[in-house]
Amino acid sequence: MLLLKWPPGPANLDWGVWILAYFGYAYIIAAAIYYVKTDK
Amino acid sequence: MNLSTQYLIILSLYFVLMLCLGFWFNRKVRSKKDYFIARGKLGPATVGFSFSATQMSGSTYMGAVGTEKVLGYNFTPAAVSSAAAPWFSYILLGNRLRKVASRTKSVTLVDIFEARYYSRTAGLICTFIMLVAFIPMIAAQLKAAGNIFEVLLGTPYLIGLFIFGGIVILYTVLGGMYAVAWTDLIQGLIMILGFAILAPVAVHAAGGFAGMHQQYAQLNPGAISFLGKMPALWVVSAFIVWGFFQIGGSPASVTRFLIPEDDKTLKKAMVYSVLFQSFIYLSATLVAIAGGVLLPTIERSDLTVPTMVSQLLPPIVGGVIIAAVLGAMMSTIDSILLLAGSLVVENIYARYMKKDVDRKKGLRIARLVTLVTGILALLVALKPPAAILWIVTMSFSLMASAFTFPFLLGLWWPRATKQAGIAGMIGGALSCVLWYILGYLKYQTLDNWIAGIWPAIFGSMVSLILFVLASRWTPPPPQEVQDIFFGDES
Repeated sequence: MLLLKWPPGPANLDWGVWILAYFGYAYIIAAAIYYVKTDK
Repeated sequence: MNLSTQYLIILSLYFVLMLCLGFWFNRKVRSKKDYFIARGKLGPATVGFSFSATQMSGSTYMGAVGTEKVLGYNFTPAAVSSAAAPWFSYILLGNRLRKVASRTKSVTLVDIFEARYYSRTAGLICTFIMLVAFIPMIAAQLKAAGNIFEVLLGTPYLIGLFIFGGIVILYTVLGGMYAVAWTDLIQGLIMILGFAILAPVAVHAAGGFAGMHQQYAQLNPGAISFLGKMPALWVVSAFIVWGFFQIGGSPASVTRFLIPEDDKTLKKAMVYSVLFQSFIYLSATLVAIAGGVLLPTIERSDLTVPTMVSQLLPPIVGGVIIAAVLGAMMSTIDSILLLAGSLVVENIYARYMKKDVDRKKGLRIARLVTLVTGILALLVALKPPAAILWIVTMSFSLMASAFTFPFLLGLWWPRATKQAGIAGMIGGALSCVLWYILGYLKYQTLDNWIAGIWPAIFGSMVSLILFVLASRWTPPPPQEVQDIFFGDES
């Protein structure tokens, strides 16, 4: 069902690109900082 | 003042700065251990930037941007994974490697291999594979730098090669790890500055963020999403290889884990690394997509960045970006040069020829070997034979295949044996080469592989299977080895 029809994402990019490419960087940065701060 | 002169002014300032650092740190180096790893003498920013600047070579600016221009977002999982590589490396190797290195008083990664697999043969195989991969890698970076001088500055190839090569070899020989790590930090900052200037200018010139993507989708419809241009297996393999396999594929970076004396420094270094690499790869993606719009018909996609620089930026600003590209190359060359020198001195000369050398003589030999290694690579770069280009293409995959699992499991699995380490390294390296050959026979190129499976993945899987089977079939490692490597568990 998830593969069916998604509305287009902002700036003429699909949501997959936004999530993996752009939020992906934000995630790994946040995860690295969180790991260092909490050791988890 | 013409374009080349303006570029040369910026580059001259940059080169003088690098040399000054070499001379400055020359005074700080007291022993060959200082020279090769500067243990406990460098802070988190220096270690973190050095880790990443070593991992990202000139190809990040040239080849990776060019490839991403063509493959678009099909390439992005690999880029994101690459930005996360310091994190993978730290969690899987970092602190454990640091502790073991301290216990075994290791100076090189090969020392750790030798201690873990209680075998000089394992150390020799490891040294041999690294040296076979390293000299052509240095030569290839030198050659690329010579080409930049030739294309952008109008300087004859040989003059560019000797100026660039001479400077990087000189500061490495003089200052060792101190100079390498500090120049890596400065080169890293210049790389950030370079992309911080180029990315917004390029996106703006391509019609803004949304407009750029709209045009890119029309010009290259298969590349606007993760899939469409390359097979799904290729995209997934690229994601794994560019991230996880840096563990074995980039020993010059991993050597940075031997520098800090405490875990806190190492953890902070990892954050610097992730921030730095994320910024570079995100900017590279934007520049590549903009390049796809602005230069859709450029013949050599690896010249995307230099061409955009000359078209979009004033020469003085463009000079900073050229310095960033050359800096990325320098930061890789200096680290590999130093590691190659340390392997020859520590794992060949000191081990087999002369065991007891005093501190001063040891340092002299370390410098001499680094110098000779650099000159050797420079000579190879004068006119690289075709076979060397093969090795350059394969070198990362070769090391990833040979070292990833023997390295990783050696640190985490007490049952791993000497025979497993040797079988994993040899089997991984040979099967990687075999996969390249089979791909070449089928597609007549080294860049396309059977079923889209990357050679590093195929080689590592063979290495893993051989490693586990050999460990199961052979007697367990001696207790003293297990105590050194796993004594702090339970």
